[in-house]
Amino acid sequence: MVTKSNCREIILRKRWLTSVTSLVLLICVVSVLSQPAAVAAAGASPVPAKTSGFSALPQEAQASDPTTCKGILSQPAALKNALLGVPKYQSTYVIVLSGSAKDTITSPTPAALADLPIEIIDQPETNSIAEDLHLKNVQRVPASEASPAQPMVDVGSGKTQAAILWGPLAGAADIDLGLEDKISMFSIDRPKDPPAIYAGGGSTATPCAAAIADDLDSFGVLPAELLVPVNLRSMLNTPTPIFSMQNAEKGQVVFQQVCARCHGPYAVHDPALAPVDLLKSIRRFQFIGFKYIVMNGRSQKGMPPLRGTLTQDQIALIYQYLVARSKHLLTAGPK
Amino acid sequence: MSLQRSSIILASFFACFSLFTAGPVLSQTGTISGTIHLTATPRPNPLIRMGADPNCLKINAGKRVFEEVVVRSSDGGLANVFVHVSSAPKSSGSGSVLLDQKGCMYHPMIIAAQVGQTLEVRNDDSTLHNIHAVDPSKKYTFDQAQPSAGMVLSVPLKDPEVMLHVKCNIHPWMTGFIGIVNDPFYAISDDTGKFTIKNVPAGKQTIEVWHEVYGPLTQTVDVKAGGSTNVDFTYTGNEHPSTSKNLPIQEITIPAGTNTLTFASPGQ
Repeated sequence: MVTKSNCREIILRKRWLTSVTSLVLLICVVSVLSQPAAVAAAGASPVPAKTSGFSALPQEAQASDPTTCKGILSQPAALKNALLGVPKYQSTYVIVLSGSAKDTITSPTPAALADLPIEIIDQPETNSIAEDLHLKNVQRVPASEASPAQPMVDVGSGKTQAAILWGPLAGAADIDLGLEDKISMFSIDRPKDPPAIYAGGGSTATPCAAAIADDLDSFGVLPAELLVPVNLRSMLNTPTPIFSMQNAEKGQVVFQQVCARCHGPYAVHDPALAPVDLLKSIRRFQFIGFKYIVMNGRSQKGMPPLRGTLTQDQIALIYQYLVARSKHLLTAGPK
Repeated sequence: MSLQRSSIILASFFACFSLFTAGPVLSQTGTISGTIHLTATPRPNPLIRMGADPNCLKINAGKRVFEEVVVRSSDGGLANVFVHVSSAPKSSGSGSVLLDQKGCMYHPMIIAAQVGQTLEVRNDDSTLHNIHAVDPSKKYTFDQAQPSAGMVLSVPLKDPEVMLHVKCNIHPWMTGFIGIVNDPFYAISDDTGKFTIKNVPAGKQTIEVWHEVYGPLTQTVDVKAGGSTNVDFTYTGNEHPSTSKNLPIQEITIPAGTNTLTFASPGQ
């Protein structure tokens, strides 16, 4: 729990960059006041989707192989496994367009979609999106194990020119049905839970799951978390992870997969890469500050927001890895 | 009256002077134009996964972006080919050429420049880019981060290099080439494969062209003074580049008795 006194201590002790100080101040004020009125910004943010499927991370990186997705729509167990193996898009729903709708709608604004005939699977999550977006011309098809992505089939056949589906399902269907050039795809609405029929079960990284993530990436689909601001209020309840070398080593794997591209394999300053020495800066951060920056990015320094890309668990693991490195508890470099 | 006579004399002097200077040069140069053809149907260009950087994904949200490795028009014209009159007299240039990083792509991805000019590498994206010269000859060694929009790296072009390969270490699909030469007689073929080079000294000239995938081709032409000379080049699609997009090939000596070679990145 952050109190007034230790907020002051933090601020006085660490003569730090103005931006980070401001961040700590903001967090302190929000935490101490702890009143709904003080978190207006957070109140404007949507309630985050439950992300229970993420806890098994980190996963081993898998090479993408779309051929392993062929026929997957007719294999319910394999389909569920592949869809849950796409953590980046678990909370993302997409609108798929074809034909003249694809040509005319380059941005899925509410006005552009209001009267468009749009096919959805009749299930609470997509019904809720249709309501949120005030769609007037929705055609519902029943959820079916025999045809789990019927709206995509209908988009492919020309029966409809628009459909809203859960992102991973749309990606899998795109690969299996070979629609690629016939369609465009946009993320739509705030983060939402996956369809209930796919809930439960652990996520497993598979070549097909990696191909689905690639497919959604290649259409320019944004993880839904990027469509809304960081929910600062929800962050305040985040406990600092209990350090363990095992987690630090797991964090090393995630760091190399996601962070090393910009921060280098050794996380130290390199004039050719991100202008920060993580092993020094991590000493100045409490976990909450680190998490805020990872989720929100640092636009002045070219760092992208990684909410959606990284799970909460992964951020905690990376933090532990950097703490371990900064304290010389872990050797440098790729694992 | 004497004023009129003086004016006529002065005008005559300038007329003669201009004939001795600009006149002969114009009459001794010509224009080279032509088209680069690709007869084969190329493989589709690779699709870019912008999701590797969420900033790039946001910039290109909802778009399918392809690498522009081979750009061929419907009638077979090949774009992005560097064309150079390699036998032309040498000279130094001035001014700058721009390599713009926008939308997590290079614009343009093939550039022609003259020694003496400055290469300006600008970041127009609100994301971290890195500009890295991959130059086996070590004439150009820049490897610089550009974390924010508006940053410019200026590189004086002191040495010729055909082609200088540049890339972004952060976004592996960003790769570009700069043809740096000692004269101003160059062009890049447009989207229809066409190019034009003006004021080329008349007489026999060697024209070299280079494409990222299909490599170099050479022809000799007779440039007509005061006229236009047409020269077309045709790639069949079976050619190979002289400059690899990947790391340079290095000669290594394998010690006797070695059964296994392990390759690692520098620093490892």
